[in-house]
Amino acid sequence: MLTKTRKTATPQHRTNDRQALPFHPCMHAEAHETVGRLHLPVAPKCNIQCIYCRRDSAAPPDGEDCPGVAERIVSPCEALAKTDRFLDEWGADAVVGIAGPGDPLANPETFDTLALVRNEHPSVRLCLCTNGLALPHSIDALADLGLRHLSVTVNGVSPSVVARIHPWINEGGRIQRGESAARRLIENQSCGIEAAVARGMHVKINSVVVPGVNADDLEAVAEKTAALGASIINLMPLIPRGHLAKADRPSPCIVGQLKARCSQHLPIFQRCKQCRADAEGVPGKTVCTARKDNTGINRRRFLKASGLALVGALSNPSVALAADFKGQKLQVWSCGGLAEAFMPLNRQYEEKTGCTVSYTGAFAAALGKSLLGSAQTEVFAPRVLGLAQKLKAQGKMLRFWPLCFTKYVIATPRGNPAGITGIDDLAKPGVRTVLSPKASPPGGKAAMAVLKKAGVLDGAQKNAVRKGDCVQRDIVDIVSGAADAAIVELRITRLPKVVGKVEVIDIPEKFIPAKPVPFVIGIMKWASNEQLARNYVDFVLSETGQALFDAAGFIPARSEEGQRLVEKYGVKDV
Amino acid sequence: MFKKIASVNWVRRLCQIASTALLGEFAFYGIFRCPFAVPYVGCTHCPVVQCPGRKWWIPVWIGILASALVFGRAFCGWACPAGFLADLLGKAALLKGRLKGMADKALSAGKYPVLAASLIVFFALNNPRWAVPIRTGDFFGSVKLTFEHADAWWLWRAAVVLAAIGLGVVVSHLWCRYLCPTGGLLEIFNRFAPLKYRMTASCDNCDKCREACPVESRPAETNCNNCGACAAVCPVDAVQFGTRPKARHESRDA
Repeated sequence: MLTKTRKTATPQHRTNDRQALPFHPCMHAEAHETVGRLHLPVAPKCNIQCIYCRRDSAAPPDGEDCPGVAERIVSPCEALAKTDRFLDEWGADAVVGIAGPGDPLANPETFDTLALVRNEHPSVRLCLCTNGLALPHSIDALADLGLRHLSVTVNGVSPSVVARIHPWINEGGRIQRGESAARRLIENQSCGIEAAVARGMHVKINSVVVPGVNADDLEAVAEKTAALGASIINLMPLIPRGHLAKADRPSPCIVGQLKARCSQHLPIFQRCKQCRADAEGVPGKTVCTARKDNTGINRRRFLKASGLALVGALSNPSVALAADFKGQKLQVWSCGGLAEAFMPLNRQYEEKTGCTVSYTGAFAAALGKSLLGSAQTEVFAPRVLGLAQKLKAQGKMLRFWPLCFTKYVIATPRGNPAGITGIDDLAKPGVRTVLSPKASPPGGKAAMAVLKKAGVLDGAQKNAVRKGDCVQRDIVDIVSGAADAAIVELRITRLPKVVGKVEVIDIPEKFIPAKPVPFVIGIMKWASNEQLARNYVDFVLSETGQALFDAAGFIPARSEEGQRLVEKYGVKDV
Repeated sequence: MFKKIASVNWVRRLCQIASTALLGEFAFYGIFRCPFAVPYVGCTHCPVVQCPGRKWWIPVWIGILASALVFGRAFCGWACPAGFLADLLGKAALLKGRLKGMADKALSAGKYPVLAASLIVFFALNNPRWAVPIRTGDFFGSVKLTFEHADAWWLWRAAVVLAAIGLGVVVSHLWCRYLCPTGGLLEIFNRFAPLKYRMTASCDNCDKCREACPVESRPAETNCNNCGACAAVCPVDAVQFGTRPKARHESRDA
């Protein structure tokens, strides 16, 4: 519970206490030109109405350029994939934030995304924009995620003004209107800002200048938020939209005067470009010019060079145009573990080409058995290299390419209550494990093999709270905290109901059994239109396609790390 | 009188059609695709991503149990897709009205061992997986693959359920009356449910209601699912819907 310490802290004290402005593109003029920022559009819902806003989750990328719009909403997993690529390009000091298109704190996906990004990039700088309504409730969660930068939109200090800009607020599903609602919003903003500052966050205040409504209130906003510990204020001239679509933009003169008045209380941020909720990079620069050198192998850096020897399909691009496949049907089977990647991929492919993908994802050994028998399919993406080789030897698979690799990790509940640091800890007394010896082999047998190779099988079995037969149920015990650790594939931690709710710890590669790790994709002899099948495989192995496997928790074959694994496991079609 | 039959039937049929549109797919998956021993429960994290039950199983059960608290087995007669199918198959029942008395009573108790077995398998044995989950696939292809790679236990389960439902064309509602574990669970509620069709004291045991009853029962007796078919056919108007039989009948006939 937050206590109000506001009255005891004098403005003077707070001002002196204020830390130097962080090198953040939206708080620091020089950083604005050099540090990349990524807005992850994961938060469509909003808990407040702003009269100047018209949210849009389907705004074309070259369309409207203002807050509250994004081309599309992305899932936390996609957001992570985006982050990975972005940090590769812009370097580790870039800032990753969530700015809508709704209010981030009104969307659970925000927290899932931040947790996921934090887990993968322990030192990344996280940022968030909010209207502040839900801030007091969320501040501890944000602090736990190591979020250090916060923008809070404060458009007034007097309830009458705020009520005109924000006609209603929605707290826990209850819509409140008028000045009492405005008072509630103001109180939560103040309380939230103060709590954020107390937790060491840098707070920027965003204020939209709505002429004739809040111009006279803004100096008071600067004064009040300065007292609360905010670092900087950003006056954003109204972009006429929503209910104010017919209003005029405030004149530079008015804005200039307001800035002068506010600057008596807080530094002014002068460079704001009022970015979209899916903005990327540095405003005005479409490509990174200040690319940071990343040494070492990065498993996510996609290989952009075409004509890689391993990707035969790409070195001999199918000549047929995508439009030629309209109305055609392609049957694709894959290992069930890949379903989370193949399902969005197929949707995209169908949109792109107008053909229909009839997709089946299930335990590859079972599908393989059917295919070695009398079943037929046109494209097959199995786990276990030997299966592809067997199908090829029978003449049923014509050709195959490395697709991706799975990664075994230790999953622990959020906060890792048992303090697991490595695989040895699974045998420690008092650690509660959950095992699935009877799950299908890639989940069950492989995990047991990892434990065996690490020499902790007996201990981990003694520690088992449950020995089940389904890894998707084991992970529930980890999410709920009923168990402290489980060995799962990274993909399991990326399932929609799990993502952001567990932490993962790497397992040394020497303990990982080789068999279940590689996946390939092959064209079968039953492909009725081989051009289509090849085009599909091309798409699967394209950067777009491979990014989906990355997002689903696999190491794409077409990444540096993937290439290393291709060599290591000898994933070659000979 | 005729009008009354028609209207109850009408409303009930509409309910069944609407409910089957909503739950039919889930019901189908439970029998043909669910890889676990006991279907329809604990679905949230099921690997079969196509199954609507992953989202719906909790609200569906809340709905069923809430309706059971008030209307007893009404779910069976008004909303269960298998019950709807049984209604249609039962129209042709070859042995209509032949299983009655003690035989019917004894067989009706069969639901309880099935319910008990389901609970034991679910809670004590952690609902084991008896088949390879076909996570996603085309409608018939996935069913074929599921059968192809299922364990013997799973195939037995599917065979028994399908046979019992199919035998509804011989003995009306064979599955619902004698084997369905959900039916067994709701039957327990049925005894205490406040709102149901009941017989008043003016009943003269003519058994016209049993002839009209899809599950060959009588108001508020075992297997009655509150469908209301009896109310329309009772020659002495002894079937009443409500919390208790109306006092005037009782006092008059007592």
